[in-house]
Amino acid sequence: MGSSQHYRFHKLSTVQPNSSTLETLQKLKKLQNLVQQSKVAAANIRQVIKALDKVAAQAGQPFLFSKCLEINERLVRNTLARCDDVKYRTFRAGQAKALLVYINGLTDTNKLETNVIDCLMLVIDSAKYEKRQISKAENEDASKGPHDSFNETLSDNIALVRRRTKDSDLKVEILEIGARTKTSVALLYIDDLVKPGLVDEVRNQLLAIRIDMVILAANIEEFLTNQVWNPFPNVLATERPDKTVAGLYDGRLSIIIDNSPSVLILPVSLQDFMQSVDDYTTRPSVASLIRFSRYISAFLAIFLPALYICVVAYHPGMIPSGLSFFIAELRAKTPFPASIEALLMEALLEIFQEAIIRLPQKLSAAAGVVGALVIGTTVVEAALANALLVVVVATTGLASFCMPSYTFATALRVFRIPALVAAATLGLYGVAIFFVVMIVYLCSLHSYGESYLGDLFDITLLEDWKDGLLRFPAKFLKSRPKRLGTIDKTRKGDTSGKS
Amino acid sequence: MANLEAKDKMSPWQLGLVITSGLLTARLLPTTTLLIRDAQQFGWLSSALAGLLFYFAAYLMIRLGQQFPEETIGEYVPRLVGKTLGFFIFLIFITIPLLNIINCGITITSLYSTFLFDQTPRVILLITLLLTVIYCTLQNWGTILRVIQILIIALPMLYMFYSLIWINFDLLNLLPLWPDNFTGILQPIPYHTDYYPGYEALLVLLPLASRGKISFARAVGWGFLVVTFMYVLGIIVLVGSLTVKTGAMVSTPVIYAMKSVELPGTFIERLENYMITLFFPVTYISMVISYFVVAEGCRKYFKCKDHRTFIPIFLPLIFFVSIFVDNPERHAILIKFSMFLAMFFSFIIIPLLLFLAWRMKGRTQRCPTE
Repeated sequence: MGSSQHYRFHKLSTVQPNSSTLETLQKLKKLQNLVQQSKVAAANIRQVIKALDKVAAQAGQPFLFSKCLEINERLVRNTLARCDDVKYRTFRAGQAKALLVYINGLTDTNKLETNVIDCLMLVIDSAKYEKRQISKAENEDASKGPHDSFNETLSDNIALVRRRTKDSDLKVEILEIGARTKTSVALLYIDDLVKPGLVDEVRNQLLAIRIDMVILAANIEEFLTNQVWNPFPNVLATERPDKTVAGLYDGRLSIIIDNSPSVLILPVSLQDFMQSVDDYTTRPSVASLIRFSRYISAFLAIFLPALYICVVAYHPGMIPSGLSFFIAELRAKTPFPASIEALLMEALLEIFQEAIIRLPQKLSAAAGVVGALVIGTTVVEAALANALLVVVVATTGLASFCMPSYTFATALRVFRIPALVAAATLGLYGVAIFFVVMIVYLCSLHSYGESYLGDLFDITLLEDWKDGLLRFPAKFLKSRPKRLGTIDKTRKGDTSGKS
Repeated sequence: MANLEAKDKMSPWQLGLVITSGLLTARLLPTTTLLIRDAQQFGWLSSALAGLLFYFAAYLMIRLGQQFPEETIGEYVPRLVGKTLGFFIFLIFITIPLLNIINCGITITSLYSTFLFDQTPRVILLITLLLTVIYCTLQNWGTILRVIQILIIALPMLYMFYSLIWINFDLLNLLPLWPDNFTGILQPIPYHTDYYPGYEALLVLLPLASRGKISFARAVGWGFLVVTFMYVLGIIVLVGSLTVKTGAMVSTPVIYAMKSVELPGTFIERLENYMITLFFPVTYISMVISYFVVAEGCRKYFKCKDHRTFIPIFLPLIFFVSIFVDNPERHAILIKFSMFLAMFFSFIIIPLLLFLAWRMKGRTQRCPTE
């Protein structure tokens, strides 16, 4: 793998000189449909071949082994096709020919060398480099879930995924990206689940990347979208192998980049950024409540300061008169209009957040105390902002911290200032307008043909609602997300434990 | 990036949802006064009858659309009545949704201007509203459909909020129980073009719907049933809490009834402000559907590639008409004109077109070689 294919592109008018653009586009659409159908057919044929191989095989084996090594090798290679992490070595054991098959990363190469290789005079990959050991996830800790996380070594990361599943349909394609760095990038997917055409689409996108170096996962991430200015992440970056495997069995793809502990999962929708591993380790009712509170938090993270301005500056009559007078009294002490006051506090909040992230861990706690207590109090005492606004801005900050995905939380921050401006200009009407604009914007986003809002209130995807805004008990979650268009739509096996 | 799946088709249920969400708008707020004035305690009966009548019109449109699957009204009308008359009918057709946009825009901005802003210039509110509508209409149908399905959540919220006026309900206000003036009940039925606007969208949206287990007529029928039920119950509670006399006197009885609700011991006050805010997304949906119908209808009529081409064309027209209608008298004239045009189209033109379509189909079946 790794070699990119080159295509020649022509103008439509050159290929179809006598047709109108509309006709040509219709023909093109037909062709695209045919290609898509052929991909579905190919996927079905692969399933049939696999089933046929299994017919004569013993239980638990993918095919019937013969006495001929070449046939066995072909069958093994067919079964493990597109698994670039599987290594093959042919050798002679006495008079007989033999084949050594092992998975890179899952096999202890030292033992393999001592016990097998040395005896057989074989050569295996002997590259050695310093690497970080597998440790606890730093940004996605789960209270009850597994604690191992990805590190910077590609083979280790693939092995962490492989260790969690013995599925021969888990494919690992390794590509090389970066003209100079030639960074290994692994594309993982479950062959008999993933939507036909999706792997080709992503592979082509990866192969089309023309840069000289790939150092971070983000280098790849930005090439996987054509909405480059969209602040919302279009792939889910995770350092958790369990999350990656769960994604694969939903019918998604994973991209592991060498030298990066962040694994990319795609396609994704908004709900995926609102879920955490803990949702599946707590009771469904509790998990549903927590999930629902996250959506409320996301709303507050954008709109709370804007709503404050609406109420204070435009519609004080919407709150009880007593409170209204109290706020007016507080605001009388500050010289700025409500909007300027809010913008000032927003700027301070952003500075705090940035400072806490950049500082070493030991110092960040101290900086938090300085920010929250010292500056918070003195800002009020200096009459630069009123106490209620401090509470509003602090709540906004906390609401954005509730998001399980940091990149998603930062995207929410981007929209806070425009919401504030809308409220300062047109009050509640401005907020309503901005809310609608945001909904339209979110609806217009797509991740590989799927709506970015996923199943959220989509009446054609009612089955998916069971694991979206709420989390139903596991016995109800029998189907894979319909929106991902997987080949196998049901999760096999009975949830009562029978297979 | 290739879209791996066609997302521009909708299911019959989605079609029903789209039509239903287009029906309820802020347009009904000023008309409610006329309804209570004429039908008095039996406004609910008038609304129920109107629901039945307008569903019949929608049903005729579905039948007409089914005669020409995959085609919109602009494509088959010239074949039925000739090019000139066809163009004229198409013009009437696109005028109805355009008037819906204008009426909705005027009502919602007047509401905000009056109740929330102490007479802030309506022009500013109107420009921002129209730009927001355009932003949504510029998207493809799949995106618009998603927007509708999300914003429609505001409809049950609005109704739940409105239900708070049950607090002031008094059964005596609904007496007498038996009407003595049946003409009064029938008289406001045409005003219900403000209660049931936008179903003409069926003539453009039907080709975008794929056939499913449920028929289009049934899916749309369910939508009408739900909305009619909401209206019937809504008018009963409105009259029950306001009295006929007050309801027929104030300009927006619904807002007035909401103003008189007090929830002691709760945090929120001025409930009408929340209600007006919830009316915004509900009305917005109807405006977006209407604008899309106009643009898509024109796209098909003029055989263009993209509906977006026609969106900027109608913007100045909508804006200047909306600005011109700057007082209640002009607005009343506009409402009347919209009403006559919608009634004429639904109950004269559509049955006629359906008759011609059936006749043409009969002829084709008799002479298949022609």
